[in-house]
Amino acid sequence: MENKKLVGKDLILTGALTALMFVIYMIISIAMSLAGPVTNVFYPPVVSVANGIVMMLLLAKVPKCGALSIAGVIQGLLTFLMGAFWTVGTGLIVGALLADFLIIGRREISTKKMIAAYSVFSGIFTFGAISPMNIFRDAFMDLTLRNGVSKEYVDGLIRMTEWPMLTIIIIAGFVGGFIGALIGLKVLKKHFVKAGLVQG
Amino acid sequence: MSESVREKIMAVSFHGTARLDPRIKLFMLIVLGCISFFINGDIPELMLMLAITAFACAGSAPGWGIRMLVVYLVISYLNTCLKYISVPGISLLMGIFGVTVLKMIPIVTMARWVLKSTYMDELTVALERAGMPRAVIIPFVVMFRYIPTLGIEYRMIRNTMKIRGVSDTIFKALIHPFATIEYILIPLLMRCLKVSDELAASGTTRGMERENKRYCLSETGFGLGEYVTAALFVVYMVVLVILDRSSIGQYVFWRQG
Repeated sequence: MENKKLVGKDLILTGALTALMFVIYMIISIAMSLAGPVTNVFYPPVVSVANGIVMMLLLAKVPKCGALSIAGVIQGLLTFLMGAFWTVGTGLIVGALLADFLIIGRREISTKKMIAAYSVFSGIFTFGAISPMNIFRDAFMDLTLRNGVSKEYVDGLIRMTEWPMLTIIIIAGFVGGFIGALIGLKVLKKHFVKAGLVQG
Repeated sequence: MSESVREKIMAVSFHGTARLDPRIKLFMLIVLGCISFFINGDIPELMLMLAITAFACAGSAPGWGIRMLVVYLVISYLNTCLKYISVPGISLLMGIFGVTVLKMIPIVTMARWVLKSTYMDELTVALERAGMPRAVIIPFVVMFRYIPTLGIEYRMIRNTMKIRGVSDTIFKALIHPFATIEYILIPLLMRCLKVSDELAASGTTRGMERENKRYCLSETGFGLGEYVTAALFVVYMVVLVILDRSSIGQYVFWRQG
């Protein structure tokens, strides 16, 4: 019977891969926020696609309930440190915990569950990252303006997060997670299983 | 004879404020991160940066502190130039880039100083005393230990790519994301698996799996120094926030004609 508790080896791997995921997240979010308000609002789906590979590797090596939660919670806490709006970290933490406990649960893990869990996680993260531009619009824009960002950029952000566009962005979040998980699994099969690092 | 051996074992490579309890350093880092994004005036920001530089210098990392201070001043000047001279295309781009970088500099300075000046076993003991479960401490400590390793691995992968003649400029890496994934991310992940296997073996050798209470060789704990630093820090932060709200915060630093 497989051991369901998180052993030291699992925790170390989780820590290392979370570090990698966070670095990827920072690079992509800074790069996309530079390019203008249009790409800025789409950074969560792109981050999810990129981190899909890392997360699928983590879930393949640590197929236990808790790996996704720890990765998400640590990344969420780190975004608080980096000074993003409070909903980003909250979205990450809530998304990770929900995806883990509801979908992965305590039973056997399967690839379908991995894909579903990661899509949910990515969707909630996108919601947490982008919706304050609409829901808490005044507080968010006020903070961004006071930080010295130019007015045209803020106007561009406001235009991009009107309600129809916002639903598209949130759906893109789920789709991004789905695509990221699929790409991740494909890459896993192609490289890691062949190299013998992960069992098929 | 035994004295000199004991001295050699207990010797640490940094002194001063670097010897504070890791929990205090982490607490300061977190509060700093939050406050840095709320302070907008030029003068409070500069005071914040000066305080951090003073801290780093007192903690045996003067080169790093002074270098980051110079970088901060240069970027602050460039930002102010940008506000007054408006070049159409670049302004938008560099505006938000400059602001983000400026906000990041105090945080990055403090974070790197904390990382460099904390031994991992002290950090583990301090976090354990703070009551955090093992499932949180281990990933946390591994993360801090692993980020410099990531940089080293990345450089090695780039070197290998150069040897093999694969495209190796940042521009090309962004334009062909699939190539980036195939050539950089996957080797990085494989190295990551290897490294964490080795780390796990080393950790088990050091008794990481045991559930008992942990100790470390040097003394960590809350002493007078920690309380004084914490109090001074809180007072300083409050002062900065108040200053920011008052008229001093509105003063623009570099006067342009």
